[in-house]
Amino acid sequence: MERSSVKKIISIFVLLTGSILLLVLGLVVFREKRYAWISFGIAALSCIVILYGFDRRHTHIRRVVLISVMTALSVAGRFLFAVVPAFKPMTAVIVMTGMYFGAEAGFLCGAFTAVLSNFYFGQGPWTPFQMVSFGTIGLFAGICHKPLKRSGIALSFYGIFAGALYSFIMDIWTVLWSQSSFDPELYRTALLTAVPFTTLYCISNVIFLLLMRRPLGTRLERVITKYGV
Amino acid sequence: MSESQRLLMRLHPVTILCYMSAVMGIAMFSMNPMIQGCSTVSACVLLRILSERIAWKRIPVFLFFCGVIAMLNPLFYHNGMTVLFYLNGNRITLEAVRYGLCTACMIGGVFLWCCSLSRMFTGDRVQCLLGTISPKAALICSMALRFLPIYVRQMEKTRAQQQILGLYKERTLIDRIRGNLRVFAAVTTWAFEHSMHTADSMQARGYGARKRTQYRKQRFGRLDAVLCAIIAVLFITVVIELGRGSIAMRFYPVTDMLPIGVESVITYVCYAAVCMTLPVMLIAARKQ
Repeated sequence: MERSSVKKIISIFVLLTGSILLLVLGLVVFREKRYAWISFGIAALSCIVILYGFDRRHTHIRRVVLISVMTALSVAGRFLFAVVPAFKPMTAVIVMTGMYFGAEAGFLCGAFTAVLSNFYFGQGPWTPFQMVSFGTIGLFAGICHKPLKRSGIALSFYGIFAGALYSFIMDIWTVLWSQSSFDPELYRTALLTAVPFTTLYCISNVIFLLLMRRPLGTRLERVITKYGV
Repeated sequence: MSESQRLLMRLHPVTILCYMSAVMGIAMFSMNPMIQGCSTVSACVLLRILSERIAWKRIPVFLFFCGVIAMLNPLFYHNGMTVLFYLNGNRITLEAVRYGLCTACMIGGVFLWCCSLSRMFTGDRVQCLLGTISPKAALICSMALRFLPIYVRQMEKTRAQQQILGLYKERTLIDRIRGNLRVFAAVTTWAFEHSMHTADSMQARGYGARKRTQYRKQRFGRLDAVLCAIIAVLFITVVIELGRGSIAMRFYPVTDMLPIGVESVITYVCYAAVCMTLPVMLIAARKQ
């Protein structure tokens, strides 16, 4: 008991100093790139915070294993479709995870998928941003799971939203990193050049979500009722 | 195994993380051409030491991307006083070209650093680092990585069984998609059941009864402590100098670099020293 409260104080302290250090370094040291620096730091810190929170709480082992199964499935999806650019079932699996296992599980599945698959497809400074964007997609799916489970139309709309969200977040990073401040015009250009990819993301999300909705959904429901996860 | 690889195996992951974050942290967020030059050159050197094959494969890619990025910037940005020429009525300025080159070096340099990073951060090192932040996350990652090959194998088995049952799926695209979906569905059912067995057996063996411990191959030795200390001192010096603005740059409207003084030389030397700690150590180990 004593030890855990000490740990809690230490973690809060580390988090506070971390965020203050982030801001100070951004304002004083990396002045030329302060937006890129701060956004990078926030992306990394938010992932660490959620991981830490997940770790502190007691979770049933079955849940932990199921999250890793879903992560493995979505990484496998990226591998299966590695030859086709932007046409990936990853988002669909992450959305399904969020829908059936809750927002936190969705976030974790998304974030881990980004990290693990990037071991093969290339890690970089974009990894924290991919973690955040995939995580957010899973998180929102978990928050509005009721309409998504009920109708396929809502699910297709969510697929389009997820594809657009991914592009929007990743292009913020592109713009911030290549210029010293956030330039709306460059952002617009980046979004416009990414339109083919964004469309492909949206289309593939919708296709995979509609294809997987029944087969994967019934199985997930079955696991939940059978094992009470 | 060569001497340098053996040395690299002995280093603790925290040391490598320190080195990488110090080097990349500055290279990613500073636009000074000298800093960028240092970072890019040492990234090439490190990659060459780690793996010659990958170095020769990656460096041309790097040069190509640099060229593209450096060309794109002046096409979008027409600020700057020195006009080189006009293209479709738009000014192409020297300043924009310089800025583009710096950005290109920055992005390309970080790309090369990431190549070395993924060479050095093998699975056990990631596990070690992640396990200290969050043991449960490390558990999820390692399980997911283990599940991957199992699922691939199971998919192949299922596919073969489906073929034996006479469910060929090569005729049309729809047919192929339906076939793949059938295999996928079968494998997911199997995967969930399999994972529940895993979970139950972990529970039976006392998962969660106590804090999860980790097996660690590397120890944080004297060499690691010395290296971390050197890197930290040099890094803090560079950060302080950056904060004081001794190597501040301005690109627009006229490229304006402060004259080289004692402070800026100290900063450059310190940064170069940070960059070269690991490569120099690896080369020294090879020479012995």
